Amino acid sequence: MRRALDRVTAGWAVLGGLILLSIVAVTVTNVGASTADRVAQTWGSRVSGLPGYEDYVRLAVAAAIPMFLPYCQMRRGHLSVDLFLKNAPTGLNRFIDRLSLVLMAAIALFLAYWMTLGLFETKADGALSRVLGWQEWPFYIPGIASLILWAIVALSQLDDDPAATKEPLHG
Amino acid sequence: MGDREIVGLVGLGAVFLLLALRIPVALAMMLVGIGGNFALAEVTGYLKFAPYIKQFKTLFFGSVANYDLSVVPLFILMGYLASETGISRDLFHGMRALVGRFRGGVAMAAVAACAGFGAVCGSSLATASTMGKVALPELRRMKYSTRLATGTLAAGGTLGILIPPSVALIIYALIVEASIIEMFQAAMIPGLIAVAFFIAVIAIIARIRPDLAPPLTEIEGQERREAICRLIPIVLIFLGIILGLGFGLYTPTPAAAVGVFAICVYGLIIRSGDRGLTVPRLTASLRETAVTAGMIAFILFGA
Repeated sequence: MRRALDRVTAGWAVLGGLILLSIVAVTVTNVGASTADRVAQTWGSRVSGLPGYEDYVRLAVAAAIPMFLPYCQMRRGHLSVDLFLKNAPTGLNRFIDRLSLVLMAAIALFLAYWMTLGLFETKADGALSRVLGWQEWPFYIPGIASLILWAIVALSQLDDDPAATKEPLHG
Repeated sequence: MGDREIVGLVGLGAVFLLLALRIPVALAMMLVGIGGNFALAEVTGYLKFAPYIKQFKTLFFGSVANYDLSVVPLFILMGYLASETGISRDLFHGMRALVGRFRGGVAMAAVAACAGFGAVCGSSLATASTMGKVALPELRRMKYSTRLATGTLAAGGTLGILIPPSVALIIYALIVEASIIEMFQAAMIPGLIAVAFFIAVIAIIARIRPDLAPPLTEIEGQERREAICRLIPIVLIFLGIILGLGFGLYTPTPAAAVGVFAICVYGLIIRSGDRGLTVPRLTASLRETAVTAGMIAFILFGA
């Protein structure tokens, strides 16, 4: 179960990363077009940039970033302060760890619930992106799926030994 | 003191308590935020809870559907790609070829390489750990004192957060709605001063205690030229980002995207083959980016 979840969350994160790389491709093309435009202006001609480029980046990043969250939880990457419980009894550490995981899962499900309502509302309103005119509601789906997956991952970690789970460092 | 102030103070205390209990930072902020609003609604009657909670329909999507936010994962990805494509190794060997002939030169090269790596990576810890893997074995092989070697890398690592692009400065700029470019400009000179002083301290230590930093057999001839030449594309990537930002050619998101693209080109063409950017290295970079960017995105949302 854990191995399957590990694979799913890693694959989901890489998929989010590929969306990020699509942002790189679109942005570099747009930068190239605007650079070409500056050069072309010296001859009195124009090269247009990608219309709706910022729209695309905004929607793509809205899909990509939530897709990172389940894998971040799988790797216990969420930042916490481990100053006071380092030398606390194992039982207390285990209790705090479980409490933290249950709260994390609860928050993820809470956000997924409200985001699902938001999806229906956005769909009913027919909200479109400003320049591209794309429907916004489909871009809620990766977020909702990620939040549910995040909650499942957190609950799957309830049996972990807190002493054995080392959190990655950031800085 | 009114009810609202009491709720605020209790909330502040609750955040510190949850943090002390090792509850993740973002989760602690969210729990206290929701709880505090509930208390303001039910205890003080200052606001209505239902409209507040309904904001969550679009709050999460609204916070991640943000053009400016895209700069965070892009610069993080750039750092991990730089690490995976061996830029750190090229930087260290290039700097060693440049300054290695001085007493303490390998430690100086490590600091200069940390500064160079900081110019393509926005994290101090990533800089210290990546450069540590490359420079520490070399410093040990050269019989540098362990204290000087580890101190050099710990100090050099802090340049990652100071020399632009810095992820910490980007996060700060996003939260306080300041200009990312101005943040980078403000950090540039202090970063260079830090590099100069770190190198000066190593030079002084090496002069006073020569036993801590033994002399180096100098790299010469073709090997030296090749090592220095490998610095050129890395310098060009950094200059492309910083000058592009400084001269207003592009904003931070395009700068980060151009940086990622340039490092991919570097990994695919300049360091092609097994030493370059392979599919496993790319997916490893994407996974590492997911962990760091996910953590930061959750904190920004929690805040």
